[in-house]
Amino acid sequence: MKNDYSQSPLISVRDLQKSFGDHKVLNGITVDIAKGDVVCVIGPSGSGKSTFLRCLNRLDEPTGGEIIFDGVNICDPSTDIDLHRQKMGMVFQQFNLFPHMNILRNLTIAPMALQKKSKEEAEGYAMELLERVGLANRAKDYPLQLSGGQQQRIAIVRALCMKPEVMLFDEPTSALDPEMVGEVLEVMKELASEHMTMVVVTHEMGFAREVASRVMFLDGGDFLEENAPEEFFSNPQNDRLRDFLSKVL
Amino acid sequence: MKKLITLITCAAMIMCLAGCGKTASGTAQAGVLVMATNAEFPPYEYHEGSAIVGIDAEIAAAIAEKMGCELQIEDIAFDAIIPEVTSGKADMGMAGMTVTEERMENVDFSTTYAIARQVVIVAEGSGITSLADLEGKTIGVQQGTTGDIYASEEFGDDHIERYAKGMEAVQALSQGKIDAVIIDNEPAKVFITENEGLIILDEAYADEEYAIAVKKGNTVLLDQINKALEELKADGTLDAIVAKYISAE
Amino acid sequence: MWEDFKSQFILNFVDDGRWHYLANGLLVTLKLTFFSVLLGLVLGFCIAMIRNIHDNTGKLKIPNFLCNLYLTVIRGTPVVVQLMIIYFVIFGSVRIDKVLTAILAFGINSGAYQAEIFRSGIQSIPKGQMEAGRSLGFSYLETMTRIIMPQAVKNVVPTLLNEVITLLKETSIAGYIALEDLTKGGDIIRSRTYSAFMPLIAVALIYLVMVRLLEFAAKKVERRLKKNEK
Repeated sequence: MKNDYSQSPLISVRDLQKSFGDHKVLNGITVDIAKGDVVCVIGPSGSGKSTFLRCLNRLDEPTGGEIIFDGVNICDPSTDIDLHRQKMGMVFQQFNLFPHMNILRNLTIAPMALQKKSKEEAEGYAMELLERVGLANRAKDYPLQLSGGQQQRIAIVRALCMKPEVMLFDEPTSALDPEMVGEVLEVMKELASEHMTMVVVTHEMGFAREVASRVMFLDGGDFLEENAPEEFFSNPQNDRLRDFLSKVL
Repeated sequence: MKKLITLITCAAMIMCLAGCGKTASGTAQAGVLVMATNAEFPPYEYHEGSAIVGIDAEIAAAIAEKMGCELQIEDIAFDAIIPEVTSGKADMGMAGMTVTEERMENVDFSTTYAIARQVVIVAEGSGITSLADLEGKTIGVQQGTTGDIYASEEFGDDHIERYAKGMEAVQALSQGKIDAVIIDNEPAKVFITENEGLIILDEAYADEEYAIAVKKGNTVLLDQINKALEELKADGTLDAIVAKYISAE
Repeated sequence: MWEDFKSQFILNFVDDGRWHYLANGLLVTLKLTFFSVLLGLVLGFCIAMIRNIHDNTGKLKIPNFLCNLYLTVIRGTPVVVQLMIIYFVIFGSVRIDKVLTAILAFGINSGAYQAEIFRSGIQSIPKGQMEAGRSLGFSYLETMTRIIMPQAVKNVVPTLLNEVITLLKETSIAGYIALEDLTKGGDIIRSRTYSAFMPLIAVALIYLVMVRLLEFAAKKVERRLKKNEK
């Protein structure tokens, strides 16, 4: 039971717009994301799906609309966005681990500095998570000593160390060598099975079909179709989605 | 090859022997008498428009005329004049230069063509009224001048500030950065008329004789200069030049 | 030949204790270089931060304007002119310690160059580092100080040490304000002994040795910094 619509949505996006100068990237997106939802966002490149994700924690500043997260409109300039970002973990295509710190420090710097966790507590939790992704023995290594797949698993753990309410994934496997994609998806599947709320921008159709509770299709900055994965892939309604799926599947 | 060497040797010998015009003068370059000076020392040598003028410049011109040479004046740092002469880059050094024992070890001097005294410039009302008051004070000099050498010996290096130009030492004095400046009498008179609030102490610091420096052992040139000087003294040219720049006291 | 060399050596360095001019001058040169680099470090760091904050957030408009003005003026004029302006104009009627004046002049000069070094250091850090820091909940400044600057500083250490070497050599113009640094020390000996060779070569050799030592240190530091990343 993944969908739980009995509660009010965790994230409620209303008419979200974004333009870079004259160039409109998002034309008013409206969607609700409930607690425990695993939303996969797919679409051709340039469709605005990454921008949509990056607007959710305001790494890209929305130019219109609102995002209600935990009952607060985080697009309001008076909102302390730094505080809300602590509850929204983010995983990047390029991992973006801090190369000058060892793995353990990468994992503990934010909990210790921002949540005032003690060193013991932060490290204890970090080691626990490292154990679960099978990288506990690399705790003292530096990021560049690890493979891409390992780095991305660490990046997921880094976000999890803040105990976020939602995890945002921005094409987490696109920069990986093919043989490493599996290990990262495995970790994400496990997260989904624990009912972590996730928004995943991805090209991995197999993952979307298997793990997502809902799949969103964006093209040209428009939110064109949404459905449960079974229906979404087997019975697409929109022409552009049909066209897109015929190319990628 | 052999011919070439002979040719070069001949050329070199001609260069060495040939005087300016038809007389053998011992100058480095035929027909030209190169004088090294430091044109920051009015009224002996200073820039006026694009020309270097002053007592030394005019006397040198008169000497060159007597020798049948063209005078060429090179303006360089005062402490570079003697090296310029010893290296043969200049034929003579003429810059209000006092005859000292140390200098005589490096160059030969002509007969004296002027008498000068080293005087002390102080700020009006500074409380320094005699040489004895200079003890423990900071004294500015032009680097490498006899004022520098005598004062360094007498007052110690710690109390001497050596400026590249006499003008700068005087400027530092009028700005209150130093207590006194020891410099030749004639430029001193010019400096105090140009800088208000500065006076020359009645008590002279030292008396000295100005002469022309030539490369050690270049008796040919030295004799010619001495002969010219003698003639200029005899016919009153020398006095006329000095009187033109220095009004009778 | 040897005798000649020996007597020249004695004349230039031993007689009247003339080597003191070089020794004291060297001390002044080192003092100048060290403190100017420090001052330049502080100035350069602050300016780089101000400009970076302005470029990324649009804040600090006036400080940013002042920084740009400073960079334009300092990088567009010769350091010897700056030195004389500070000594004869800005401190025109003050009796101020010459070493301090020179440190100010060289520090202010070096600050402009170090600012550019820091700036390029900051710009060399991938954008993703800032985004990763911000996405965890760090503020812009926290991300700057905890994540960006430590990496940027590491990247610029070799260039900074080059700036130290440049500055060491640049201080040789301190003689313009009658400050007796190493170069001036050699000049004073020259003005006493009228020989050019010995004092100038000695001064050149001392500079060369110091520069080589700094280069050696730079290589060591660089190697150490790289150790953690492979």
